[in-house]
Amino acid sequence: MRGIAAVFISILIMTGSVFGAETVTLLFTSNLQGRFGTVVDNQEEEDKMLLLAQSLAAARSTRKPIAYIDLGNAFYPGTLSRYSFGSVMMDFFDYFDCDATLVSSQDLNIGIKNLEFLKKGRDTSLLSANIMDKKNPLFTPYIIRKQGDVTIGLVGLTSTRGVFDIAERKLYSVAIRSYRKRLNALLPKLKKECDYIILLSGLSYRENLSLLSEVKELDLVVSGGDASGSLFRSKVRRVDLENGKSVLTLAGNDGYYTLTLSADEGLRVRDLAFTSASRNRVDSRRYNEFVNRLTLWKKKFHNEGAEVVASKLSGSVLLDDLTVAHLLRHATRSEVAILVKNSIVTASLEGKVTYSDIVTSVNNEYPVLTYRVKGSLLKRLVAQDEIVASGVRDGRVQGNMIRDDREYSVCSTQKGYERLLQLTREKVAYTNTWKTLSDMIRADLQGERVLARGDYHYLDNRFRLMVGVSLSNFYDRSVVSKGDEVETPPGKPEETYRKWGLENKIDFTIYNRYHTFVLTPYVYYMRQDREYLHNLLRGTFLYTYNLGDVLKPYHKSQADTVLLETESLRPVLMRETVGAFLSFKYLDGKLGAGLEKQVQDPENKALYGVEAIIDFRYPFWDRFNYTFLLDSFLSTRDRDFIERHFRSDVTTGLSYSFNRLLSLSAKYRWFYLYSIDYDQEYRNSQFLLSLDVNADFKFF
Amino acid sequence: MKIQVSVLCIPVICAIMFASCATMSGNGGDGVAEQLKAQNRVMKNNLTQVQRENDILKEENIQCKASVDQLKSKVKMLESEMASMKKKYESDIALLEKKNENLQEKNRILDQESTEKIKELTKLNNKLEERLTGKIEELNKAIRKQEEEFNRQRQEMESRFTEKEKEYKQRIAELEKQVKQYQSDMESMKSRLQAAEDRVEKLQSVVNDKESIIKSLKEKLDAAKNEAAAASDKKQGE
Repeated sequence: MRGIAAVFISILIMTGSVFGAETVTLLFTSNLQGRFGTVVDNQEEEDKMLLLAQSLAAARSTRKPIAYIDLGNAFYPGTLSRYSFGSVMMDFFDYFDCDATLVSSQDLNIGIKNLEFLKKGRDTSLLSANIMDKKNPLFTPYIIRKQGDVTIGLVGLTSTRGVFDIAERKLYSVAIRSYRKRLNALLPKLKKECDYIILLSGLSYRENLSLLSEVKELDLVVSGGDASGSLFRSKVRRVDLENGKSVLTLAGNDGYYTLTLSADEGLRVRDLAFTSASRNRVDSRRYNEFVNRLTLWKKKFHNEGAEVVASKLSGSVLLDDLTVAHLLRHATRSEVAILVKNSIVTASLEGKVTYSDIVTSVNNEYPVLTYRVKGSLLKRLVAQDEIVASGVRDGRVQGNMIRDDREYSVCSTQKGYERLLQLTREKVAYTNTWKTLSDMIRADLQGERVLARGDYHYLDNRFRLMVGVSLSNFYDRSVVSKGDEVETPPGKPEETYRKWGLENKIDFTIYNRYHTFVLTPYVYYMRQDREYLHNLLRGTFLYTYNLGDVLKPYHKSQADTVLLETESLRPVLMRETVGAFLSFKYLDGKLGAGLEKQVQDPENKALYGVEAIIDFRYPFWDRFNYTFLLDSFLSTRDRDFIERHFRSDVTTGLSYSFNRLLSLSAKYRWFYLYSIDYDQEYRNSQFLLSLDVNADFKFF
Repeated sequence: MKIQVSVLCIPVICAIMFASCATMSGNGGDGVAEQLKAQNRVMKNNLTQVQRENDILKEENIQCKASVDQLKSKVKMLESEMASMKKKYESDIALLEKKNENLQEKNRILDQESTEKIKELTKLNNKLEERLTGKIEELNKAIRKQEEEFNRQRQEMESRFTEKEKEYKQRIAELEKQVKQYQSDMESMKSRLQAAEDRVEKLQSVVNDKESIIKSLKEKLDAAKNEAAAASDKKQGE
């Protein structure tokens, strides 16, 4: 007898008729991605979205749900949906009584203004509480549904992964705001109107669980769209908290979910079932109207898509991420082009190319931007799994190892640029080409047809100009006043003086994959009152052939003279050397042989010898940099090496960078000259504390 | 001093170069041109969307118009059909009205005839009813008599049955007494039978003993006879 009673009670609980628990049913779809086919024939049997529509219509008639909600990423990247700017997808929702769709990251590809337009005249709400235009929500933050005595509020939160089109960001103050702040602002008011609150979220499991455990007003979280359902590298559909609340992730996209809830002291999940889309016979006026409209969209797409963009293509042209990245590099003359994977759906073009071929292949309609990034950042960017790069091979750009401190010109779509911004806190200036990948592919197929070349090595052979500026200046004025009888205190100057100096250098570098030409004017000038302490003007022309990573042959011409004539003389010392340039991660060295000759004031005989140049730079602790520079030339006038001369210039220094341009450095310089002519030495050592400006500019 | 100024100019030139280069790098452009380009892109997208949606709605509108035209022509056709039907209806109505009048006349005559017939039938019916009522009353009386007779017979039968029942009950009691008597007799007979059986057994054993004695005596007798015969034979021989 007791057994029968227990079974009876459990049945009552199951049916929700005991203790006044109301049973609420909701329908959900997620990640639909506007996957309409483009073929009209047999569409009611084969078009996935129509099959889903039929299944939804059948479910609506049998289950009587309180609401049908889409959890986001519905509009993109389906070809027809993209072509219609989401209109056909919004019609789908409107015709099949979808109460709301959560705006998710992929949906933003359609464009904010286009989404706003979609809202007009349709009953389906676009849901997002945290996409804000200044202080106002751009879309509907929540909707409220009632069944019997139960009132449920459904709040939508967009994931922060969304990217607004750069044009819209420039024109409007739209942004994805902090979801916590938004919830805190909305929930107290909403709780007064509703018995229960369900959060529709595009956030990750971690964020959802944290919200559900901390925000007491929330009764249930249903995530989808941007939420993949990954928890500790496993796909999880449901997580229950100790307080009985649940987080659900609905990631399946080829059907719909039926969620049955029991509304009592809280919202408890009674059942969650996924139903795959299948053929159902639907004979309703709304369904037939939608099928008609869909057919019109498909026909329109076919009519417009049939426009011939290019004809008579020689051979087949492979259209994929890498080929289009090569095209970007060609078109923008950048050193590196990056694309986020799957920006292009791989296709092979042959003979005649139509507009629909391009639209179907291109999966990224953001504008192409060009910008410059430091080598260190570039390395991190191209190391990402999701990135396809043209111009970077085995850590090299144009055959040279990527240098952390050098700037590289990069082009990408806005999506790639946003990826870059995620890696750095710094603002990266960009130039907008205002062209999309489709525009560029179209222009190329109608013009140069770079895409058909297949071989892109010529891009590495392009010459580029880079200018590196290094300015180091100081000024010292000391005023001394003393009586005739007073002795100068130890360590203090005897008299008033003014001392100033500069050490400025500009490197003009023209280079390509194999050749590098560097022209360097260098001034090292220092004077105290009327006396010159340093008065050097140097011009260097260096040619390097990029034979390998480590060893590169070079030729160097260097001319040293004075900046200001001294005693009406302008001595000029020439040095011509050839040798090997060695390049390592922190160390560059040159070992060469040649001659050194004073050609003017007075003209001397040439000295033949070897030069050794070391340039060691070691960055540490983020902002510090240690440098060791050695420039030495050992020469002789005879073959027996008797009349030998030695000249060496050593600089060692430590610098601290305040920002990208400005640094404070302490340097110790030591100059040594030995001449057999006099059998005497000249030594000069110097300690300098200076404020330096260093900047690199790339012109093309 | 002139030279000094020219030397100082170098960093200034460099700074200007730096500044100019810095602006060359740009920041996506905050200028009016960039704003206009951004606006152009947004407007272009919006316009394309609106145009495409408009084309679809136009197409739908054309379809709707075509179906409206079809419906209009159908309406016209139906209207003309209605007119001809109306005509036919009117002539039919006139014809029917005539027919109706005729029928009404016929109906009136039939009505009259039927009224008379009804009167006759009513009379006949009344007579029959009266006869039927008399018959029913007679039958009721007969039934009542039968019922009374039946009740009397039943009461008699019941009283007879009661007496018989009493009698049978007495006989049953007597028979039960006799059965009990027979049962006690049977019990005493059983004990006597048992005693008789015991005695039979004892007598049987005595008989058996006697039989064995007789048997032995017989044997002795036979032997004696044999001896006597032998002796007589011997005597005869002798």
